[in-house]
Amino acid sequence: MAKKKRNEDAQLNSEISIEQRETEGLSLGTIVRRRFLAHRAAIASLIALAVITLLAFTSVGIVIGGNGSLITDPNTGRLAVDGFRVPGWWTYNWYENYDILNPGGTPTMTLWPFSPGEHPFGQDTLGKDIFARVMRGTQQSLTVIFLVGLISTVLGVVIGSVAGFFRGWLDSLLMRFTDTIIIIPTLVLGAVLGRTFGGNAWSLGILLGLIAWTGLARLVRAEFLALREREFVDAARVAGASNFRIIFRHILPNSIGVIVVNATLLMSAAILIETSLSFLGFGITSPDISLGQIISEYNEAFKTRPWLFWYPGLFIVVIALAINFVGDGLRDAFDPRQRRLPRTDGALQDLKRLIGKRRAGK
Amino acid sequence: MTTASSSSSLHTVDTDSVVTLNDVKVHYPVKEGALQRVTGHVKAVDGVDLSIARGKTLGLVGESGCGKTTLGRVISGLVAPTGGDIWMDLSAQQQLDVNRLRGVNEAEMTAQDRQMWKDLTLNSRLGSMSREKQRQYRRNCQVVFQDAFSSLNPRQLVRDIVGRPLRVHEQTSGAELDKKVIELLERVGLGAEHLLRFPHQFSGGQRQRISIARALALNPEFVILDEPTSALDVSVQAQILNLLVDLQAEMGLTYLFITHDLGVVQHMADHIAVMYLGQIVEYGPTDQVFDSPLHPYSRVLRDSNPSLEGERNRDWELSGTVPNPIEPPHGCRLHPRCPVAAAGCGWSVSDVMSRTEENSPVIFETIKTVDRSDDYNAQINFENEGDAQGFVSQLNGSVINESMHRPPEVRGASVKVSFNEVSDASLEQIQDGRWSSCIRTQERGTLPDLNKSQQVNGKEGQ
Repeated sequence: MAKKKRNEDAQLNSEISIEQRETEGLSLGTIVRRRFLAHRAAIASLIALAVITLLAFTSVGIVIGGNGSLITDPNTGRLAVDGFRVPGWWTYNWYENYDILNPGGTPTMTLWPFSPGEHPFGQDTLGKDIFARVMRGTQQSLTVIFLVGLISTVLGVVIGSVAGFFRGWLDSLLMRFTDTIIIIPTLVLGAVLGRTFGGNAWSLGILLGLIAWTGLARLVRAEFLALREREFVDAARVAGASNFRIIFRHILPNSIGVIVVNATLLMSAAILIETSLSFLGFGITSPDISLGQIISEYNEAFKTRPWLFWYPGLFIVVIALAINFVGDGLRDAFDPRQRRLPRTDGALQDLKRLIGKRRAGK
Repeated sequence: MTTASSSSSLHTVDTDSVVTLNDVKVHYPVKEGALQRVTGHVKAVDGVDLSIARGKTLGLVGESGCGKTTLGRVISGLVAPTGGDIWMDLSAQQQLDVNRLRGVNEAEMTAQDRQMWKDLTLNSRLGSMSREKQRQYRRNCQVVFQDAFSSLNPRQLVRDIVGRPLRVHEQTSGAELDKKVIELLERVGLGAEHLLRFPHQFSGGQRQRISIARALALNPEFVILDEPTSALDVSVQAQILNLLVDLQAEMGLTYLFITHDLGVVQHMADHIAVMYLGQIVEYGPTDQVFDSPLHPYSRVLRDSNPSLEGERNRDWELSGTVPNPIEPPHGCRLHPRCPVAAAGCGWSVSDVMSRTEENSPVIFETIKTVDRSDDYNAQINFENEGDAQGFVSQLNGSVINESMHRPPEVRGASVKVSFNEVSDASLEQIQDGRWSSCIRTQERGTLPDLNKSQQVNGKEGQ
C-alpha cells in the first residue's frame, strides 16, 4: 500500500518540464556559470571591455606615482610626465606635439584595406596624437569607473543591509545620513573636492564612490525590509541560524539582482559624471586627460574636426553599454527562477534552417 | 491539593508536557506622532495558559487576527513574549509545582520552595535557562509555515534547505549529509532525484513536503504546524495531513496545529484550544468540544463550518466585527458580539457607543460629546433633550440597560450612564478536562440557551 503510494509520488515527481530538465542536477555555481556563458551579449561585452582595457593600458603605457604634471627630461630635453613611466608599444604619447601628417590632422586610418597609418584617430591643431590621447583618457576613465563601482557598491550594500536588517534607531540614523548625502548635488561636491584634492583619477574615483552609494543603499534597505519578513528567514531562525548567516546566505543572495543592476548603472553613471566634471573643468585636469576632458578641450572644433569627438565619444558609449550588458547577464545568471537557458544556437543556425526549409519547399 | 490554586491556569497535569505557557502575553506598542510616543498596546496574545502534552496533537483554532499565529511564533522563539513564562519539558509534578510557586511571592517562599523555583527556572524556563538548553529547545521545536512558497529560500537547492540544520547542529557534511537528506526526502514522499533542484521547480504540495522534511531534519520532538495546509488545494491537503499523521505515529511527534479550518482540526487534534482576541476561551478534548461546545464562540465557530450534510443550525451567529485589540472589551471579550450575552458579561461605556453606532446611527449622529470618568461611568451630551430621551428609550429593555448600576439619568440634554464593574473572564474548569471562559457557562455548568436570550437581543436590535 505504502509502496504503491510512493510509486505514484515518484511518477508525479518525474513529470517535470523540459526547461527544468536543463538545470536538473546541477549545482548552483555550475548553473550560474553556464547561464552567464550562454548570455551572448554579456560575453561579447565582457570581451569588448577586456580588449579596451588591455589596449588602453598597454598601448601608451602607464605612469606610477608622481603628481601628473609635465616636466622636461634633463637628459633628452623632451617633455615627460612626473612619476615612474612604464612605456607602451605605441610610438606616440599623449602630451607631445608631432608634425601634422594629413592636412588638418584628419585620421590616417583606412578601413578597406585596413591600415591604421601613423595617426589612426587623427591629430589636433598642435599635432597631438588623438589615439594616444584617447587611450590615456580611457585608462583614466576606467580607473574612475571601477573605483566608483567598487566603493559605492560596498558602501551601499553594507549601509543598506544593516539599516534594513536591524531597523530601529540604527535604521533611522543611517537613513538620515543617507538623506544628507543625497541632498548634496554630486556634481557640485565632486567639483569642490576635485579641486581640493587634485584632478587625479584615483582621488576622483574614491571621492565619487564616497558620494554615489546613496541610491543603492536605499534599494538594498528596501529589499532587506521586504525579505526579512519572508517565512524562509523565520525558518532559518528557527533552525538556529545567526544574524550573520541570515544576512549573507538568505537575504543578500535574494537581492543580488537589485544590487548587480544598480551597481552597473552606477558605473555607467560614473563615466558620465566623470565626463561632465572634466567637461566643466573640475575633474581630471590638464595636463592629464580623460575622455570627458578630451571632448571638453576640443568642443570648439566640433564642426571642423569632428574626429576629435568621434573617438572619445565612441569609447564612452561602448564602455557604458558593455558594463550594462555584463550586469544584465549576471542578473539573469543569478536568478534561479529564470526558466530557460538562453538559446545555445544562434541567428546563423536560424538562417540555415530557414534556407533549408525554403529549399525543401522548392 | 494544588488543583484549586491552579483554577486560573490551564494544564494537562496528568501527562508530561513539551511546552507549558503561563500567562504569556505579547503586546505590541502603538506609536503615534513625530516623537513616536506609545499611546497603547495591541494585545495580540493576552494572558495565555496552555500545556501541550507529549506525543499528542493540540489544535489551536480561531478567526484571523485572534493571535494564534503570534502564539505559535512565541512558542517557537521567533517572538519574545512581553510577559509570562514559557517552560520546556515539564513532568506532571513539575507543572503542579510551577503552578503553585507562581502564585507565591518570592519573598514569602520557604527555603525549600525557593530552591525548587530556582532549579525550575534554571533548567526549564525559556530565557533563564542555560544557552545549551536553549539550543536544545531550538532543535527540539521546529516549525512548518503556512506559505509553502515563501518559506523556502528561492536561491537554495533542496539539499541546502533540508541539510542546513544538520550541518549546523550535527556537523555532517559531504556524502553523509546527502545520504541523510535523501532519507528525509524519502520519508516525506520525495526522492533522491529532488536533491539538486530549486524550490520553484516544485508544486505547492511538494514544497510543503520539503518544509516538513526540513522541520524533521533534527529529529525534533515537537513541531508547530502553522496552517500548513491552508495554501494548498483540497486533494493535496489530504495527502499532507495523512503524511503528518503517519510521521507522528512513526516518530512520536508532538504537534501544535494552528488553523482556522475546523474540519482539519477535527481530523488531526486530540485536544483543541479555541482562541478569541488574544485569549483562549475554550479548551477540551476535540470530540467533546465539537459535540457540545461550552463557549458561545466555539459554538458559533462550529456551526459556521460548512459541512457536506447541508446547513447546520444557523441560529448561532455573531453580530458586528472583531473589537479593537488595543482596547478589548471588559469582562468576557466576546460579549458585544455574543448571541447569549447577559447583564453580567462586562458591559461598559464603549459598548454603548459602538452598539448605538451600529444599531441606531441616527441617534449616534446626535451625540455631541462623551465625558468619561472611567470605562464604566460617563456622561453623554446631546444637542437637545429630545435626542437624549430617544437615546434612553433605545437603550430600554436591552441587555445593556440591565447591566447598568442604575438606570440612565436624563439631565437636560445629557445622559448619565453607569455600569457595574465586572472582572475579566478567565478559564475555569466546567467538567472534567473541559475548560471555558464564558461567564454564563461557568454559572450554569452548561452553555446557556439561545431562545430566551435571543428575545432580549431581538428587542434591543430595533
